Amino acid sequence: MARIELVNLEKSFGAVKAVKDLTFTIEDGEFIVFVGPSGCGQTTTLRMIAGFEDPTSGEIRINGKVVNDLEPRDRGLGMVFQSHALFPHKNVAQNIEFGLRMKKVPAEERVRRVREVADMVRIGHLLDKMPSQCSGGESQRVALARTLVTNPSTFLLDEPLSSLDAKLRRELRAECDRLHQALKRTFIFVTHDQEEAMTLADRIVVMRNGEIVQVGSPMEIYSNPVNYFVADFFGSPSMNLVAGEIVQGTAGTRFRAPHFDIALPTRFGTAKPGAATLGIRPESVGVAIGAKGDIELPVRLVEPLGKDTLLYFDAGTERAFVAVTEGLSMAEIKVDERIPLTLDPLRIHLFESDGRRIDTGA
Amino acid sequence: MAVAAAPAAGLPPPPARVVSRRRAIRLFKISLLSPLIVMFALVLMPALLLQLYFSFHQWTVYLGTWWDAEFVGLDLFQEVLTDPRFGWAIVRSLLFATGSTIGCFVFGFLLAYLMYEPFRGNAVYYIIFILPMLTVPVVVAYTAEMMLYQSGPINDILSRLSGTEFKPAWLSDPNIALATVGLLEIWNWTPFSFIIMLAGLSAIPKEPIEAAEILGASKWRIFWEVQLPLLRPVILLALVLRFLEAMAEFPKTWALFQGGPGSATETLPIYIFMTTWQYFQISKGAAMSYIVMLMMIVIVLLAIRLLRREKQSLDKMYEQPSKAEG
Repeated sequence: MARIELVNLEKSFGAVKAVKDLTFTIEDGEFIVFVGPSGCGQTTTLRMIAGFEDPTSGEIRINGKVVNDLEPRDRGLGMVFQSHALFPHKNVAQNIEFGLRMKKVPAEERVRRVREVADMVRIGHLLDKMPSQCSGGESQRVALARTLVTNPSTFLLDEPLSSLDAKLRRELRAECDRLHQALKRTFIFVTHDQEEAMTLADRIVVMRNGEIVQVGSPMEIYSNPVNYFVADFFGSPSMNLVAGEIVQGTAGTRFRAPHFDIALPTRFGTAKPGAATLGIRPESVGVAIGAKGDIELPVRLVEPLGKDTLLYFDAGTERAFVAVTEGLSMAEIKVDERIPLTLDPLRIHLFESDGRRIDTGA
Repeated sequence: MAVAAAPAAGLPPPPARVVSRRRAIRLFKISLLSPLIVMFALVLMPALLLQLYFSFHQWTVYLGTWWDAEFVGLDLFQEVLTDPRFGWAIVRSLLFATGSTIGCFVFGFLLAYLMYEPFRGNAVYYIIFILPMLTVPVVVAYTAEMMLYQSGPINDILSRLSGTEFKPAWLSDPNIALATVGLLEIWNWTPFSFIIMLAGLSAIPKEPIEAAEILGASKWRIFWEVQLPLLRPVILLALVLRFLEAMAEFPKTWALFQGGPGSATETLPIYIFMTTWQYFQISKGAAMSYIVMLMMIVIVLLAIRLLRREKQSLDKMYEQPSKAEG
């Protein structure tokens, strides 16, 4: 059982403010993912929860109790590090057993529990090996087992998968998910990989420059990003973002950019005219061959992926304007062909020039 | 040249480019080593050969020309090896080196442990801790001589602190004279062990220590179970280097005691020096030097073997992170 509250948490390193006035509550049993570009303060936050960094100000509470002055070992937490951090001079069994030995668990019980968790993360065959004989994926499983065996109330995972290759990453991601469901413990996971965040989290905490930008379920974050940054950070391929302006005229509210002149849905009726960025996810862009689209753009690249086909259009922007179509029916489209496109009006986002989403009130 | 590029059955000869590259590397190695080789050939080698000549010929400064000296075979070696004074010199040197090495290591490691995590003003402490090593040993000896008089400042301070009359005769009691030099050696060279251990401690990756911390280990357990095992090669290096240096300690011992009182501080370097330049038994001194040199070579070879083994195990331990990057 662990409910972790962060209250006005701040951390400065000299003149650099790594974490700014962070207030946030992690509910018991939740899988929370702190995500943001590298250096945005997520790891510092995690290290403060673990007790490796002292907050400059603010409080950390575990189950209502302030733990600011508690040593890491007295907080009842478990941590998995990016670099695995195994003890290189101890074999796998001794590594896993370490936490139990520190807690003076009797020898027979230690052996039994080491076996148990080793089987749980499928490394039973590695117990006699040295860490140097384990692959990256195996090492991370050992690190997981070493944490699991101490039965912590909360698992802190600091970019645990970032040193692994893509296939192993997916595999261990599933492992984390499975462990969370089996153990029903609180998981706090730090990553800079939006895909990891989307697939694992109950709630995602998006951080940037030491501040929380948005908190929400993966779906909320994906479909209702609060600003340009979140919109751009999540999703692969990322959201199409087109800089232009909002114009209020007799024909209603319109958005204009070099290749765009579209009528905005009525919910944007009160939007202030001026510079703005239009955002729409690739899957909300419809390809309307033979029909009249909202816009018409020339194709630059066709990428048939099998299940989907990605179409890259030239919208005069730095990044190509992308549309996703199902299957391979569009794979035959020729480069330079001008294709009419429709934009799902419910899925159009508008961002002000400072990045904030223009709220529709709807 | 075009033929070299053609694929051949079996083992093809390495392309010309590889051969010339290998040759260039070898040339580079030789050119780097050559000053050392030249110095060895011109300076060290003649001295060693002359020493070898003297240790097989009975000669001293007042016995006419050295190239006419009488060949005595292994007589001198026999004399040295049956000389109880030489035996005692070995014992004293080993005692002195072992004791002072342990002292330097314990204090050096302690200071390093206090210093390895950066704190405000640590540079000041660093300089203070290094200072003794930068002091010339003879100066250490003369300063110590003034401080250690029986009614001098050190005994005075010790007496005041302990509240009892504490007046050991540091400089004239044969029972503690060797210990006095040993303490000075420790004071003089603790910085050396400190620097090596500080480097070693700082080089240990942070994560395993933090992992141990959150797994419930106390500072003491972390030290014992994580830091110490990872430091083993560094510890060995610090001990070996210090031991070899201590075996050769001469200036402080000579400046303070000249081997006395009695023969209490007559270590190997002192005894060799006295034999050669006070008794003018140049040949016996040469034979002694050779025996000591052989002794030290054995110790060094053993140490190199140990160090190599430690280094290999360390390399193996740290193989894993690089592999994980892949």
